Amino acid sequence: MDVEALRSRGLTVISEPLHVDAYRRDLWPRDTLSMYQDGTLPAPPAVVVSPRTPEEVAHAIEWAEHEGIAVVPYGAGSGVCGGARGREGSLVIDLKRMNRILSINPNAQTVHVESGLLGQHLEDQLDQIGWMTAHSPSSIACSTTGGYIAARSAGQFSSRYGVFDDMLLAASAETPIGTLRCGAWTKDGSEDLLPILCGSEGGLGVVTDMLLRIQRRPQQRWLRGYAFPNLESAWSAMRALMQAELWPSVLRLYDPVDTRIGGKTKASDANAGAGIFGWLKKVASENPSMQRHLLNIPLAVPSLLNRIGASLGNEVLLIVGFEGSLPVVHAATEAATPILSPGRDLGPEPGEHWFKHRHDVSYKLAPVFIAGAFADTMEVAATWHRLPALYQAVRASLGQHTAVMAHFSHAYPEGCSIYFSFAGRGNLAQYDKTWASALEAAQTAGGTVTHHHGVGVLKADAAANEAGNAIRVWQEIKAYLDPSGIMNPGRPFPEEPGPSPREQELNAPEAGPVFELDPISLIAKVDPHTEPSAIQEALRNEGFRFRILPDRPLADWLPLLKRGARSPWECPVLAVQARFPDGTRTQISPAPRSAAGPDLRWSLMRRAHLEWVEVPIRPLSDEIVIEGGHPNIDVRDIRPVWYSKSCWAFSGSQHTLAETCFGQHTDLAEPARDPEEIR
Amino acid sequence: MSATVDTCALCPRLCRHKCPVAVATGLESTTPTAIMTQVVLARHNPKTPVASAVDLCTRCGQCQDACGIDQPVVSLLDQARTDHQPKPDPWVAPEIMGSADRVAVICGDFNWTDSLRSALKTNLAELHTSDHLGEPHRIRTDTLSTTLQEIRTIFGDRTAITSCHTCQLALKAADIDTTLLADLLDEQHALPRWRTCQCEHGPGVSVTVRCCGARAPLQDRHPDLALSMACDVKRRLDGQAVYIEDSRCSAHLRAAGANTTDPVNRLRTMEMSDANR
Repeated sequence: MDVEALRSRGLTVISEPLHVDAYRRDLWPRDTLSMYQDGTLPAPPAVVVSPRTPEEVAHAIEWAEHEGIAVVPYGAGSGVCGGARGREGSLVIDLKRMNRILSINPNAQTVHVESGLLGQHLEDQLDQIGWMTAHSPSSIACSTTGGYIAARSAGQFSSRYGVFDDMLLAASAETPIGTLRCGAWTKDGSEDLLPILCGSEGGLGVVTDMLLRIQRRPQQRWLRGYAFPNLESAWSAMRALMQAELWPSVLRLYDPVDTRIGGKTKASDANAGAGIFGWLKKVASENPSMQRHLLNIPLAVPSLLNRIGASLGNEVLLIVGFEGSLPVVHAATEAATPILSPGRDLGPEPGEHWFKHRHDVSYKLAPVFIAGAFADTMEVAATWHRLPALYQAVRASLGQHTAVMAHFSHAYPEGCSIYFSFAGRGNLAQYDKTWASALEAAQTAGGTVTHHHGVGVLKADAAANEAGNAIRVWQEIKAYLDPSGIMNPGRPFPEEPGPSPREQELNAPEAGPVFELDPISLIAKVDPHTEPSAIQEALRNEGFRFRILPDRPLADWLPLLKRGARSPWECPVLAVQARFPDGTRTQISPAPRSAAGPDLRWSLMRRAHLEWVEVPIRPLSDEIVIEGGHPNIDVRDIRPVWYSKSCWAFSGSQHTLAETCFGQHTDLAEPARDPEEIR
Repeated sequence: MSATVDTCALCPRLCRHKCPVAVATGLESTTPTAIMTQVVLARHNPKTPVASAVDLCTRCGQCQDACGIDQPVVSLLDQARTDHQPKPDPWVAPEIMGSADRVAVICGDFNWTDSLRSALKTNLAELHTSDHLGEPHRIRTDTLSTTLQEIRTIFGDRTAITSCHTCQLALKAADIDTTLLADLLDEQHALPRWRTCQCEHGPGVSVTVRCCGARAPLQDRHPDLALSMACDVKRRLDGQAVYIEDSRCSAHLRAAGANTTDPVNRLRTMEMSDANR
């Protein structure tokens, strides 16, 4: 291996074992478990480079291709699925010295940053001038912007500002065949590969820089806690808030165990919000001499702990937050009050406590490992319709082996994610068994296996199963960009995935134009080749309408859409079924959002015939209100249904917002949307 | 939470954004979490290079300030040094020369005592230290208290003047009344005043740097990384000239090409001007 060739191209090369060994793992708890219990680590890379520029990244990739060794991009190593774990004999490209903000454009509301910049450093610098990305994952202190792309990250305020995909306007990556420019930087006439680059986990190239949407720091932040009698009533409130398009910045629901063990419905409890790990920690800290033994009891008999948790009662805590300009927050909270009325108002304390401690969850893991057990988290997602079954199935599966609790966050009009926290005694075999059964349970219940933690080694097989035959799209693009297959092989999909059992019996849809309606999740499965007016009529007969009315058949309309759709933070299309030219069918079911690898839908549309698509709908009674633009209020603060230079449109549920901000409104006929107009 | 090395080793590096070594070098090995992990791994493999790993820290304390569960990271690393590095030879304490109540503590190449005597028009004793008042002994738990006791013995009731924050820390820990040289000099210069190794930027300087990397043990054992840190500060200063309170940091940054000056440098310049007259 000619390491001197790397140095001769100006790269900083790190080969001393003390430093190289630190790249043998990321934060996958399985590797933490083996490190802590046995002192064993994944294989070391051969060499690490620390580039300063995209050119140096390109040199490093070129060198690796010449040497025939794998390339592993490394940000801050905060991934919890093993995406950046060590690979024997590989070249690690550590991007943290590419940590500059290259430019800030307040007029365009964008920031151009390098991919090694830590999230906290980005927010700190934006904050100094009154801006923010509003991307706030709990890992913000120890994760990079490049990592957010790799794993398709989501922050704690995603229900208002979107997930990281939604903030990402453009990105550049170095690949074995050269520089790839995506999103707004895509070359005219080229396919925009940004949806494939997001979630690719280094499998296509190394992201070097990106353009992100930024927001003004909110004038006001409103947070409050509500105790609901049970999960079902709280789910209804969450769903209603999202489907009314009031865009709360925070919407977090804790399941009964998490609510009870954390003492969260007691507004005065200063220790609220600690979760299962916090509770275990609290028990241990109050009895230091018994720490190991006290933790061993519940961890050794998790089913007992789960049963005790289940018997504690059904009451659950929902934390709700709104933020933005003063009139918008006022109007949104007024509109939300009747929706939240089934809950008992606990005042601002639970919400403010959560806000203050929102990044503390990561401190809770250590005591569990110290007690000789393992702790981990699993984030899945489904449409509202499937959410209860998904919750029960995964909880039951995890509960066989571990003490488990959950909260629901990252809500969308169509569904929500569930974040399970679990801890159990055992070795790697027990850990693997726990995960295997939980992943199977999630897929059987119709959920996606990952929402924002990425895929890594942990979920690669499950992600491949979820992608089904659409993985051919990934393979084709990977073969083009990385012909030697050196870029983080096996991430996010296995190099040789097996057949996807769920796709063996896919059939062509029968009579349309509306094949299926999900009135709970507000989704319709429709024929993408039928004129929208015919679909609209069929929907009206059922009491619904398009949420976004296209001006041409969806099969023609969808591929023309730029980044984002009616609003930058919402999907115009959910699941799709398509048929490849050889007759093979595939289904991609990302609803409400899957981060099980890249979003393959957009590239699939270019390569296969769409057979059906799922689109968001709204109740017929929820009429559209058209408003004229307002020069003094940032339209993005209000989140209208859609907007153009001349007018903004609000849903009926947003009347209160619209009237508060604009006074009288005018009812107009809803125009069909030209994809070029949609921003 | 009990303050164990394990807690830090199992933390997902939540203080890495504050660690000046980790930020400037970008190296995974330099985060407090990675260093603590080496300590944990040493339980399984005695060949783990803990001795070298613990000296990747400059003991600036930023990690402690950032920690949400108040882990005493610096003390934990001092204990790790004690456990994994050979005990140094006993400290040979320096002697104070002169009988004046105020003692100039000289830790660099240039003896500024006469210049300060002249500037202040007062008598001063002087003490020369080549190791910042026993710094290698003060960053271990087994030799810390005896070293501080020796400092107390040397000084008795006398007060100190120092140009270096590392020496200031030693004197402060030994309860010696200490004044920074920067505070004694008349501040007529136009440059913004700044300190790196303690905590904050000064008026007119937008760059915040907690530690420039000059402090032991990083500079002693990992001089290349110490240089990387100085280069990082220089890059962030972007050519801006800065007056740095700490002569040790200033000299370190100047060696990396940064445009800095400091109290000792100023006294040296004054002395040269006097000589020329």
